[in-house]
Amino acid sequence: MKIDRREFLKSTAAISAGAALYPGIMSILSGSGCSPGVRRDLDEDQIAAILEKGLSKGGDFSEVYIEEISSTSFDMSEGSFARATVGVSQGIGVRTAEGPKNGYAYINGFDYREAMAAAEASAYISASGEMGEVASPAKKSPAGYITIEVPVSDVAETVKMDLIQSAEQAGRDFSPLVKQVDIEYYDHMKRRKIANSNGLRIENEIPLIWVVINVLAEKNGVRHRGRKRLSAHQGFEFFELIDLEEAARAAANEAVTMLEARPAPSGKMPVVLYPGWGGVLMHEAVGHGLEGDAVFRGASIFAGKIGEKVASDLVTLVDDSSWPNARGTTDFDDEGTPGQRNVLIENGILKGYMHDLISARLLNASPTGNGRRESYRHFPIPRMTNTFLENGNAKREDIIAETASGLFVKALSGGSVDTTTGEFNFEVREAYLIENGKITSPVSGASLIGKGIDVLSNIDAIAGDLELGVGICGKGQWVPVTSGQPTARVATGITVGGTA
Amino acid sequence: MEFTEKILDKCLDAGADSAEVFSLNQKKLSLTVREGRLETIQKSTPGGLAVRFFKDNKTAFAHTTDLSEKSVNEMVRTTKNMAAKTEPDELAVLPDPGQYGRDLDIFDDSRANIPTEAKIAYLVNLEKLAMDYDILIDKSKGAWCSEVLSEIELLNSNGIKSIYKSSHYNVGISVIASKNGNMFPGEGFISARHFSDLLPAEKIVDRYVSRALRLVGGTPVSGGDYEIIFTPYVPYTIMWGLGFALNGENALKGTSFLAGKKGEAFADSKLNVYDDAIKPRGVSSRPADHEGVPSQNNKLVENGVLTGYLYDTRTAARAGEKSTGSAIRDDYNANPEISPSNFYIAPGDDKTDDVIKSCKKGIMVEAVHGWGLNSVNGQYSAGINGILVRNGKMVKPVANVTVAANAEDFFKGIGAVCDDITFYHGFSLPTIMIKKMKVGA
Repeated sequence: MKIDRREFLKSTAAISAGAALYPGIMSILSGSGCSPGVRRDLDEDQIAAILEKGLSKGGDFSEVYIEEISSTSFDMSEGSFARATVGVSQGIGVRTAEGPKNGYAYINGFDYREAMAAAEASAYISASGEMGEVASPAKKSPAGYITIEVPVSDVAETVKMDLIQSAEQAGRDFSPLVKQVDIEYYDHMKRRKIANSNGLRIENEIPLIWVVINVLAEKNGVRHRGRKRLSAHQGFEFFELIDLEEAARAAANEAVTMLEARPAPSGKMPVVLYPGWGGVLMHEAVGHGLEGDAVFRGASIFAGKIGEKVASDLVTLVDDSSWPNARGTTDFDDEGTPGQRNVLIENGILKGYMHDLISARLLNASPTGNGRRESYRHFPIPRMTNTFLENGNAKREDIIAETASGLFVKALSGGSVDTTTGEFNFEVREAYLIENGKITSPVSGASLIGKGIDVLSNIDAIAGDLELGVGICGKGQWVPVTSGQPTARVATGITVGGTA
Repeated sequence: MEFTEKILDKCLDAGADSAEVFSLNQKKLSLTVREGRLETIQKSTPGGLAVRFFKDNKTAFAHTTDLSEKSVNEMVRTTKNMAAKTEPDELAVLPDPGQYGRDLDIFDDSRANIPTEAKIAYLVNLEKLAMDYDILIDKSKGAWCSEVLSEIELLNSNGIKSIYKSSHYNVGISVIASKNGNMFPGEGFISARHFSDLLPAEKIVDRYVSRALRLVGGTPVSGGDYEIIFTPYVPYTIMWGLGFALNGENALKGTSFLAGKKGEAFADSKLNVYDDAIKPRGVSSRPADHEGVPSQNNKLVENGVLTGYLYDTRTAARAGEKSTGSAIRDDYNANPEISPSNFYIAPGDDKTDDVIKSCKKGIMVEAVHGWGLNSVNGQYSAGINGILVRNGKMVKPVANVTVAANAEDFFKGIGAVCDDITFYHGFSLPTIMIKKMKVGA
C-alpha cells in the first residue's frame, strides 16, 4: 500500500493533536514545528564551566555532548502486534582528549552538578597539568542533508500499524509456503547539541525510521528465512518513497526461492555481487581498515599507503555522509564536524582515511566527519557512514554472461573483519550458481571468506547500477550505516564455504 | 524500592489490570592502557526504568531515563494509551511470585575502593607481560578492564519483588604477532562475577598470546573432508546458534531447526547441553530472571536427545509448559527476551590429547570468523584459523579456509566431547570433535 500523499497528510494532521506523545517530543515540536533547544538542558554558562573543568588538568580539548531521544516501536509477529514500546532517553557525555587519549564520563539526564562531576572524571585522563584554554563560543549551522516534512512523532500509532499490517498481509499472500512474517518497526527523533573548548556550538534533530521484515518459508521440513530492511533519516514521507508491501513480497520471494536451494559449493570461485547491501563486503573487507584509529595504531594493512595502488583500476570507494536522508548520513558527526563526501580509493589509488578529531590530529589530516557514537553513553570514534563502490561501465547482464562458472550472491547477512589480518567473512543468505554464463540453481549454507586487499585487486567488472543497502555496524558500539555497490565481480580471492 | 513501588501504584491507579516496574542502576568504570600509558578512562552511573502495563489483555512497554515526577506520570499515561492500541493477547500475563533459592554469590564490590592508579598499574603490567611473551609480539592494541556494579529492582502487581545486586569484571588484552610479514592478533578477554575469580595476568596472556603464536602465518590446506576439532576458544560459533534454536519462541514459530523435535535424538549421545542460571558465582547467574521467575538449571539436551526449550512466561503458557526463568533484558530499555544464561555443552570423558593422537586428517579450530551454526536450518559454515593435524601430529597453522556441514552431519557426527571446559564467559564449550566436515580452500 503506497499512501496517497494527500490522504496521508490529512490522516496524520487529524491525529497529531491527540497522539500520545512525550513531553520531550511535544516541546521539540512546539513553536516553529521543529525548533531544537526548547527543552531545558544546560545553558551557555554551564556548558562553558563544564568545558573548563574538563581541561582543568590539561588536554587538547574538552567536549560536551547532550542527547535526547524519543522512540516508538512495534513488533508484529504471527499476525498480531506482539509488542509496542515507547521510550525517552536523555543524557550528557563529557570528554577530555589529549593525544590519542580519551577521558569520558556520562550521566543520565541533564543535571548540571552531575555533569560537572563527569567533567572532573573525564579530566583524569590528562597528565600535563597545564590548564587548557577554552575558546569563546561560535554557533554553527547544520548543513541540511537531512530533511523532515512530516515528523515521525506527528503520526498516530494507528497509521504506522496499518502500514505494517498491510505489508504483513502482502508477505503472507505471496505464497502458501510462507509460514511466518515478522515485522519490526522503529522510529525515533534524536536531538543533539555539541559544544567543545575550540568554541564549537552546534545542534540539530535527526529522525530515524527502521523497518525489518523477516519471512519464514517452509516445505517438507526445509526452512529458509528471507529478510528485507528499510531505513532512512527522514520524516514519515519516507513511506511515500518506498513500497513496504513490495518489500515484504521481496523478503517472501527470497524465503520461498531458497527452499529449492542445493548445498552451496566450496572452494575458490568468481563471485558476482548484486547491488545494494552486498556493499557490506567493501565495508568490512576494506572500510574498517581505512578508519583513522586502526591506521594511527598501525593495526591496519592500509597504514602508510596513501598514494599507493591498493586496488584494481576500476575501484573507486567513497564514504559520503552527505547523501540526502540516507541511513548513514549525518548533517554533522557526533563531534560537530560537517558531513561530506570522502573519496577513499580513486581508480585503485588510496586517497585518504576516515577521521574523527583525534585521528585527524594524530595523522596530520583534516577531520572528515566520521567521528560517530552510538549515544551519549559512548565517546566518538572513526566510523563509516554511507560507504559504497562507485559505478562502473559494465552491464549486469554482460558480467553474468561473461562468467563461465561462479557464485551469484544476491543477499548477504552480516559479516565481520579482523583489521589486523584483513581477513573477512560473510554469511550468504541468498545465492545462485552461475553456470556457463547463466544464473541457475539457488544454493544455501555458504559463508564467504577472503582478504580485503585480494578482493580489491581482483574486482574485474563493475556495472552502473549502484544502490545503497541499509544496516547496522558494530565496533564496540552500534551506529546506523549504509553499504552500497553496483553489480560487481570479484574474479578470484573469495573462498566459498559450502558443503558440496 | 519506594520509588518503584510508587510507580507500580501509579499504573494501577491509571487503570492497569496488572503492571510491572523494572529498574536498573549501574556504576561502570573501564580503562584502556596502550604502550604503557592510560589511553581511555570511562566512568558512568547509567540507569533507567521500564514499565509494562496490562489492561484487558493488551500490553505496552515504556522506558525512560527521566525520573522526574512529571515525566514518570507522562510515561504511565503514554503506556496506557499505547496498550489500548495493541491487540489483546490472553497469554501475555505476568508471573506470580516463586521460591527464590540460595545466595549465588554474584556481588563483589571489593574493587570499588582501590585507587584508579592501581588499576592502571595492573593493566600496564598485563600489557608488558603480553609484549614480553615472545619476540614475535611486536605491537600492542592495548590492555583493558571494565567493572560494572548493578542493582536490579523488579516489582509486579502479582506480588513479585526481585531485588538484587551483581558485579561483572572483564579483563582483556590485544597485541599483534608478526612473522614474515604476516600478522595475527593475540587477543581475548575473560569475565567473572568476582575480581578474584579472574585468571592471573600471566595466565590471561598465556591463553590468548600463545594462540597468536600458534596461528600466525597460517596457510590454506587443500579442500575436502576433514575431522574438525573445536576448542574451548570458540564457544560462540556453536552456542549462539544453538541458543537461538533452543529458544522456545523460535521453536513455536518454526524458526528453529529443533522445532518439533522434543524427545528426538538429533545428536550423538555424547551431547549434553545445560543452561544453568544458578551456578554459584557464574558469569550469567542470577537469582531470578527479569520477569521475576526464579532461576534454575535447565537440562536441554540429554545424551543427544532434545529434552526441552527455554521459555519466558508467555511462551511457556503458549507451549503448555512452565517458564524456565529465561526472560532477560539486555538493559533497562529492552523488552525481556528469551535468552540463555551460563550456557554450555557439558564436558565428557574424552581427552584432547587422545583426540589429536587418533586424528588422521583434521583441523583443530582455535579461531572462527562469522556466525557458524545457523539456528534456522542447523547448517554450520564459517571461516576458521587452526592447526592442521596429520596422523596424530600437529603440523602447521591453517588460515583462509572455511568449514561447513549440514545439521545431520554436524550433530550426529560428534565423535568426542572432552573434559577441558572452562567458564570464562557466558557461553562455554569443552573441546569437541566432529567426524567429517567440508573444508573449502
